[in-house]
Amino acid sequence: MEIKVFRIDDRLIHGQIVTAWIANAEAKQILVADDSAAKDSFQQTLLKMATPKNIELKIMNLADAKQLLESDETDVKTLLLVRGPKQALQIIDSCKDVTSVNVGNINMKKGKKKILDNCWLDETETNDLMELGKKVELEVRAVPNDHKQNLIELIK
Amino acid sequence: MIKILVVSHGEMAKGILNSAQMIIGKFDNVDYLVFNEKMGISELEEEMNKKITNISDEMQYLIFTDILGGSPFNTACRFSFENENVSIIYGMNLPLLMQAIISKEGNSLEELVKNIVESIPESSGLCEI
Repeated sequence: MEIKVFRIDDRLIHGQIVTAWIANAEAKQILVADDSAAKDSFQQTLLKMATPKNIELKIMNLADAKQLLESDETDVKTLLLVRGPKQALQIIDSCKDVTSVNVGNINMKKGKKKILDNCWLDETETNDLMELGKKVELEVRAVPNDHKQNLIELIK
Repeated sequence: MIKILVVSHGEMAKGILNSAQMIIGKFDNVDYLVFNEKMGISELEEEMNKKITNISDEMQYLIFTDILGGSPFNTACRFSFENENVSIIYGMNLPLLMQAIISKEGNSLEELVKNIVESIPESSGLCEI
Protein backbone atom coordinates (compact mmCIF):
# COMPACT_ATOMS: atom_id res chain seq x y z
CA MET A 1 0.00 0.00 0.00
CA GLU A 2 1.02 3.56 -0.53
CA ILE A 3 0.82 5.60 2.68
CA LYS A 4 -0.36 8.99 1.40
CA VAL A 5 -0.95 10.43 4.85
CA PHE A 6 0.30 9.16 8.20
CA ARG A 7 -1.62 10.93 10.96
CA ILE A 8 -1.53 10.98 14.74
CA ASP A 9 -5.04 11.63 16.05
CA ASP A 10 -6.54 10.57 19.37
CA ARG A 11 -10.01 10.68 17.79
CA LEU A 12 -9.01 8.22 15.04
CA ILE A 13 -11.80 8.54 12.43
CA HIS A 14 -13.94 11.67 12.91
CA GLY A 15 -15.23 14.76 11.06
CA GLN A 16 -11.88 16.15 9.91
CA ILE A 17 -10.90 12.75 8.57
CA VAL A 18 -14.10 11.91 6.72
CA THR A 19 -14.55 15.34 5.16
CA ALA A 20 -11.02 16.60 4.53
CA TRP A 21 -8.19 14.12 4.97
CA ILE A 22 -9.57 11.25 2.88
CA ALA A 23 -9.92 13.62 -0.06
CA ASN A 24 -6.52 15.19 0.54
CA ALA A 25 -4.87 11.78 0.65
CA GLU A 26 -6.95 10.54 -2.32
CA ALA A 27 -7.25 7.52 -0.05
CA LYS A 28 -9.09 4.37 -1.03
CA GLN A 29 -8.30 2.77 2.29
CA ILE A 30 -7.94 3.70 5.95
CA LEU A 31 -5.65 1.65 8.15
CA VAL A 32 -6.28 2.18 11.86
CA ALA A 33 -3.31 0.74 13.73
CA ASP A 34 -4.45 0.60 17.33
CA ASP A 35 -4.24 -2.07 20.01
CA SER A 36 -7.29 -0.82 21.86
CA ALA A 37 -9.59 -0.58 18.80
CA ALA A 38 -8.39 -3.96 17.54
CA LYS A 39 -9.87 -5.70 20.58
CA ASP A 40 -12.95 -3.58 21.25
CA SER A 41 -16.07 -4.33 19.23
CA PHE A 42 -17.77 -1.05 20.17
CA GLN A 43 -14.86 1.00 18.84
CA GLN A 44 -14.82 -1.11 15.69
CA THR A 45 -18.54 -0.58 15.11
CA LEU A 46 -18.03 3.15 15.51
CA LEU A 47 -15.05 3.25 13.16
CA LYS A 48 -16.99 1.29 10.54
CA MET A 49 -19.98 3.62 10.84
CA ALA A 50 -17.77 6.67 10.50
CA THR A 51 -15.97 5.42 7.40
CA PRO A 52 -17.49 6.52 4.06
CA LYS A 53 -18.95 3.62 2.09
CA ASN A 54 -16.47 3.81 -0.78
CA ILE A 55 -13.46 3.54 1.54
CA GLU A 56 -11.97 0.25 2.69
CA LEU A 57 -11.32 0.10 6.44
CA LYS A 58 -8.70 -2.05 8.14
CA ILE A 59 -8.42 -2.10 11.94
CA MET A 60 -5.36 -3.90 13.27
CA ASN A 61 -3.24 -4.03 16.36
CA LEU A 62 0.20 -2.46 16.00
CA ALA A 63 2.05 -5.75 15.59
CA ASP A 64 -0.24 -6.94 12.79
CA ALA A 65 -0.18 -3.52 11.13
CA LYS A 66 3.63 -3.52 11.16
CA GLN A 67 3.68 -6.94 9.57
CA LEU A 68 1.22 -5.85 6.89
CA LEU A 69 3.11 -2.64 6.17
CA GLU A 70 6.34 -4.57 5.77
CA SER A 71 4.95 -7.31 3.54
CA ASP A 72 2.27 -5.53 1.49
CA GLU A 73 3.21 -4.81 -2.10
CA THR A 74 -0.03 -3.34 -3.45
CA ASP A 75 -0.27 0.34 -4.37
CA VAL A 76 -3.57 1.14 -2.66
CA LYS A 77 -3.56 4.75 -1.51
CA THR A 78 -3.92 4.64 2.25
CA LEU A 79 -4.54 6.95 5.17
CA LEU A 80 -2.74 5.54 8.19
CA LEU A 81 -4.10 6.54 11.60
CA VAL A 82 -2.57 6.02 15.02
CA ARG A 83 -3.86 7.28 18.35
CA GLY A 84 -0.74 8.93 19.78
CA PRO A 85 3.01 9.60 19.58
CA LYS A 86 3.89 6.31 21.28
CA GLN A 87 2.05 4.28 18.65
CA ALA A 88 3.54 6.38 15.84
CA LEU A 89 7.02 5.70 17.13
CA GLN A 90 6.28 1.98 17.37
CA ILE A 91 5.18 1.73 13.76
CA ILE A 92 7.26 4.32 11.88
CA ASP A 93 10.12 1.98 10.98
CA SER A 94 7.68 -0.24 9.12
CA CYS A 95 6.64 2.69 6.91
CA LYS A 96 9.60 2.83 4.56
CA ASP A 97 8.42 5.61 2.27
CA VAL A 98 6.95 7.93 4.87
CA THR A 99 9.02 11.09 5.28
CA SER A 100 6.44 13.24 7.06
CA VAL A 101 3.91 12.57 9.81
CA ASN A 102 0.86 14.78 10.30
CA VAL A 103 0.01 15.60 13.91
CA GLY A 104 -3.73 16.13 14.29
CA ASN A 105 -5.38 16.01 17.67
CA ILE A 106 -3.51 15.19 20.86
CA ASN A 107 -5.54 16.88 23.51
CA MET A 108 -6.32 15.16 26.73
CA LYS A 109 -5.79 18.28 28.75
CA LYS A 110 -5.22 17.40 32.39
CA GLY A 111 -1.72 18.36 33.52
CA LYS A 112 -0.42 18.79 30.00
CA LYS A 113 1.43 21.56 28.24
CA LYS A 114 -0.43 23.37 25.49
CA ILE A 115 1.50 23.56 22.23
CA LEU A 116 -1.51 24.51 20.09
CA ASP A 117 -5.30 24.24 20.58
CA ASN A 118 -5.30 20.74 19.12
CA CYS A 119 -1.98 19.64 20.59
CA TRP A 120 -1.36 19.17 24.32
CA LEU A 121 1.66 17.15 25.40
CA ASP A 122 2.88 15.45 28.54
CA GLU A 123 6.54 14.58 29.07
CA THR A 124 6.37 11.07 27.61
CA GLU A 125 4.57 12.29 24.50
CA THR A 126 7.11 15.09 24.08
CA ASN A 127 9.99 12.63 24.32
CA ASP A 128 8.35 10.23 21.88
CA LEU A 129 7.76 13.06 19.42
CA MET A 130 11.35 14.30 19.73
CA GLU A 131 12.49 10.77 18.95
CA LEU A 132 10.04 10.53 16.02
CA GLY A 133 11.25 13.93 14.81
CA LYS A 134 14.72 12.46 14.26
CA LYS A 135 13.25 10.09 11.71
CA VAL A 136 10.59 12.14 9.86
CA GLU A 137 9.21 15.65 9.52
CA LEU A 138 6.43 16.31 12.05
CA GLU A 139 3.86 18.81 10.85
CA VAL A 140 0.89 19.95 12.93
CA ARG A 141 -2.35 20.59 11.06
CA ALA A 142 -5.90 19.83 12.14
CA VAL A 143 -7.16 19.99 8.54
CA PRO A 144 -5.27 20.05 5.21
CA ASN A 145 -6.04 23.74 4.58
CA ASP A 146 -4.38 24.83 7.82
CA HIS A 147 -0.89 26.26 7.66
CA LYS A 148 1.72 23.55 8.37
CA GLN A 149 3.74 24.09 11.53
CA ASN A 150 6.84 22.17 12.44
CA LEU A 151 6.13 20.47 15.77
CA ILE A 152 9.76 20.14 16.84
CA GLU A 153 10.20 23.91 16.45
CA LEU A 154 7.04 24.49 18.51
CA ILE A 155 8.20 22.17 21.28
CA LYS A 156 11.55 23.95 21.52
CA MET B 1 -40.42 11.98 28.84
CA ILE B 2 -38.23 12.51 25.79
CA LYS B 3 -35.41 15.03 25.99
CA ILE B 4 -33.73 16.34 22.88
CA LEU B 5 -30.03 17.18 22.78
CA VAL B 6 -28.49 18.91 19.77
CA VAL B 7 -24.72 18.58 19.31
CA SER B 8 -22.50 20.05 16.61
CA HIS B 9 -19.06 21.10 15.48
CA GLY B 10 -19.04 24.80 16.32
CA GLU B 11 -22.13 26.91 16.99
CA MET B 12 -24.61 25.18 14.70
CA ALA B 13 -26.36 23.48 17.64
CA LYS B 14 -26.95 26.78 19.39
CA GLY B 15 -27.93 28.51 16.16
CA ILE B 16 -30.38 25.88 14.96
CA LEU B 17 -32.31 26.08 18.24
CA ASN B 18 -32.45 29.83 17.87
CA SER B 19 -33.86 29.36 14.36
CA ALA B 20 -36.37 26.77 15.59
CA GLN B 21 -37.58 29.08 18.31
CA MET B 22 -38.17 31.86 15.78
CA ILE B 23 -40.51 29.56 13.87
CA ILE B 24 -42.26 27.46 16.52
CA GLY B 25 -41.83 29.53 19.68
CA LYS B 26 -40.44 28.51 23.05
CA PHE B 27 -40.01 24.86 23.96
CA ASP B 28 -38.89 22.73 26.92
CA ASN B 29 -36.63 19.72 27.36
CA VAL B 30 -34.41 20.68 24.48
CA ASP B 31 -30.74 21.42 25.11
CA TYR B 32 -27.60 21.88 23.02
CA LEU B 33 -23.87 21.23 23.23
CA VAL B 34 -21.25 23.00 21.15
CA PHE B 35 -18.01 21.16 20.36
CA ASN B 36 -15.35 23.73 19.51
CA GLU B 37 -11.77 23.52 18.28
CA LYS B 38 -10.37 24.12 21.75
CA MET B 39 -12.09 21.09 23.25
CA GLY B 40 -10.61 17.63 23.39
CA ILE B 41 -12.63 14.50 22.98
CA SER B 42 -12.57 13.78 26.73
CA GLU B 43 -14.01 17.21 27.47
CA LEU B 44 -16.78 16.61 24.94
CA GLU B 45 -17.56 13.33 26.65
CA GLU B 46 -17.62 15.00 30.09
CA GLU B 47 -19.99 17.72 28.84
CA MET B 48 -22.25 15.15 27.23
CA ASN B 49 -22.28 13.16 30.47
CA LYS B 50 -23.68 16.23 32.22
CA LYS B 51 -26.45 16.63 29.63
CA ILE B 52 -27.50 13.00 29.38
CA THR B 53 -28.48 11.83 32.84
CA ASN B 54 -30.86 9.30 34.39
CA ILE B 55 -31.53 7.43 31.19
CA SER B 56 -34.51 5.12 31.67
CA ASP B 57 -37.79 4.07 30.03
CA GLU B 58 -39.24 7.24 31.59
CA MET B 59 -36.35 9.48 30.56
CA GLN B 60 -35.44 8.91 26.94
CA TYR B 61 -33.09 10.97 24.79
CA LEU B 62 -33.10 11.87 21.15
CA ILE B 63 -29.73 13.30 20.09
CA PHE B 64 -29.33 15.27 16.87
CA THR B 65 -25.79 15.56 15.48
CA ASP B 66 -24.43 17.32 12.43
CA ILE B 67 -22.46 14.69 10.50
CA LEU B 68 -22.08 10.94 10.50
CA GLY B 69 -18.70 9.95 11.90
CA GLY B 70 -17.89 13.33 13.45
CA SER B 71 -16.82 13.56 17.09
CA PRO B 72 -20.26 14.75 18.33
CA PHE B 73 -21.79 11.70 16.63
CA ASN B 74 -19.05 9.30 17.77
CA THR B 75 -19.32 10.48 21.37
CA ALA B 76 -23.12 10.31 21.34
CA CYS B 77 -22.84 6.70 20.19
CA ARG B 78 -21.34 5.82 23.58
CA PHE B 79 -24.74 6.57 25.08
CA SER B 80 -26.91 4.87 22.50
CA PHE B 81 -24.85 1.69 22.16
CA GLU B 82 -27.10 -1.19 23.22
CA ASN B 83 -29.46 1.29 24.85
CA GLU B 84 -32.97 1.62 23.47
CA ASN B 85 -33.63 4.76 25.45
CA VAL B 86 -31.14 6.86 23.48
CA SER B 87 -31.38 7.42 19.71
CA ILE B 88 -29.24 9.49 17.39
CA ILE B 89 -30.15 11.23 14.15
CA TYR B 90 -27.15 12.50 12.16
CA GLY B 91 -27.21 15.04 9.34
CA MET B 92 -29.71 17.14 11.30
CA ASN B 93 -31.60 19.96 9.68
CA LEU B 94 -34.19 22.47 10.82
CA PRO B 95 -37.34 20.73 9.49
CA LEU B 96 -36.42 17.44 11.20
CA LEU B 97 -35.47 19.13 14.44
CA MET B 98 -38.70 21.14 14.58
CA GLN B 99 -40.76 18.07 13.83
CA ALA B 100 -39.08 16.27 16.73
CA ILE B 101 -39.62 19.17 19.11
CA ILE B 102 -43.30 19.52 18.19
CA SER B 103 -44.12 15.82 18.30
CA LYS B 104 -42.02 14.55 21.21
CA GLU B 105 -44.85 14.82 23.77
CA GLY B 106 -47.05 11.77 23.97
CA ASN B 107 -44.91 9.69 21.63
CA SER B 108 -42.52 6.91 22.57
CA LEU B 109 -38.94 7.40 21.44
CA GLU B 110 -39.36 4.51 19.03
CA GLU B 111 -42.42 6.10 17.36
CA LEU B 112 -40.86 9.54 17.31
CA VAL B 113 -37.69 8.28 15.63
CA LYS B 114 -39.68 6.26 13.10
CA ASN B 115 -41.64 9.36 12.09
CA ILE B 116 -38.55 11.51 11.84
CA VAL B 117 -36.71 8.99 9.69
CA GLU B 118 -39.70 8.84 7.34
CA SER B 119 -39.48 12.60 6.93
CA ILE B 120 -35.80 12.68 6.02
CA PRO B 121 -36.27 12.54 2.21
CA GLU B 122 -38.72 15.45 2.25
CA SER B 123 -36.67 17.61 4.57
CA SER B 124 -34.15 18.65 1.95
CA GLY B 125 -34.23 18.82 -1.84
CA LEU B 126 -34.03 20.81 -5.05
CA CYS B 127 -36.68 23.42 -5.71
CA GLU B 128 -38.23 22.58 -9.06
CA ILE B 129 -39.85 25.86 -9.99
